[in-house]
Amino acid sequence: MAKLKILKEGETNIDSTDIWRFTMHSGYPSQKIYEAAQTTLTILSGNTGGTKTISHSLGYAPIVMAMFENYSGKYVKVNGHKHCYRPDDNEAQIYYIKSTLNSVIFGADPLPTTAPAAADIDIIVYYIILYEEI
Amino acid sequence: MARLIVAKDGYNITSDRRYLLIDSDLTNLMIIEEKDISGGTASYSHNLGYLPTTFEFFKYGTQWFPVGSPIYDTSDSWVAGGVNIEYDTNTIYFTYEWINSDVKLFITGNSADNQTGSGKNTAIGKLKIAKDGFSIDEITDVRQFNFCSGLDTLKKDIGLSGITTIEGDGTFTKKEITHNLGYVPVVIARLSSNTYNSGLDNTMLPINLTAFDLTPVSFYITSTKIVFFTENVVGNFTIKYNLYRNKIA
Repeated sequence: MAKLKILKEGETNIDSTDIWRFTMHSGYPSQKIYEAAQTTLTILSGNTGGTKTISHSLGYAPIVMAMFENYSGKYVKVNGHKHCYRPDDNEAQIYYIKSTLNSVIFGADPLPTTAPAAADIDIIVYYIILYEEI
Repeated sequence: MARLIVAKDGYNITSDRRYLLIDSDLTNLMIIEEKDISGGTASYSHNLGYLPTTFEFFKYGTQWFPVGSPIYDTSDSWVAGGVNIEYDTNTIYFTYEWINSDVKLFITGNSADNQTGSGKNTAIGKLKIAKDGFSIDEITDVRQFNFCSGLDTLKKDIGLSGITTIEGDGTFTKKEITHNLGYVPVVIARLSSNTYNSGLDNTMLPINLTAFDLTPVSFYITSTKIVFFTENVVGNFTIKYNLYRNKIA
């Protein structure tokens, strides 16, 4: 069978078994983007947490990479659970990501000390969903 | 329009997209920079003008943890919290909980579609595929390409990826998966189900169930194995994990 291999710049051995030396190798599928977008996770006034659900049609749980808005005006990369601070009032929250067969869920859970939101709080989330199953 | 599709060995071009290398209609995740950050560094300027998509790990001895994980040493003892990372459109900021750990960053040029920052001349390689609507001779920003052969990709090792279960008994409990690659590979994992709290099912790892990172479901990677672990919880935790032939260290 024909093979496709592309070496990284500076690498010279196309027969190397060190796969990390290649940018692409036909023995190892690469990652393609299903969806790349922005959404808003809202914690409603009086609540201490909230969720935002993004539906997909993949039929399996995909890999998700996301950045959540933090209090500092910066963004945090959330892998799973991440202790953060909601943007409007600096209250501690746990940001998290769930990946299911038909949806991706971005959430903010309270810590025991988290106060209810005095007004609706919008948290911007930038995300990429891959075709890759996890 | 002509379409280029390359499938993984053993599959064909009609296979599910999970098993393809290239599909010219789809955008590849393309790594524009791998960066080793020395412990204690406060910030690093990527200067892209937009929020990139990244993945990152930090070091303790011979162990590499995903950002967000607490540190446990190889004697299975809790050591400290880990490294926190924040981003804006030009800079990455690091804060360290007790220990100045080295960090490995993988910065992709990909971003959410509505990110409109300036970008940079990040597209390299002899084989490039532009997104629909762009002229290949007029663009240099990787966000406008579906594929650039000069940029690294995440290369999944299907044989070394899998599923495992930790049987948490309230003490530190771990499950070791041997890979023996001789280097530290990238690993991404998800808690697919558990008997402790079903509300945690499907959550990506690492998980911290209480404040101060005291009740984790997490993992670390060495040059020979992946170690999944938990502490302070009783129940079975079933974890799916992907191993990629990309080198952290």
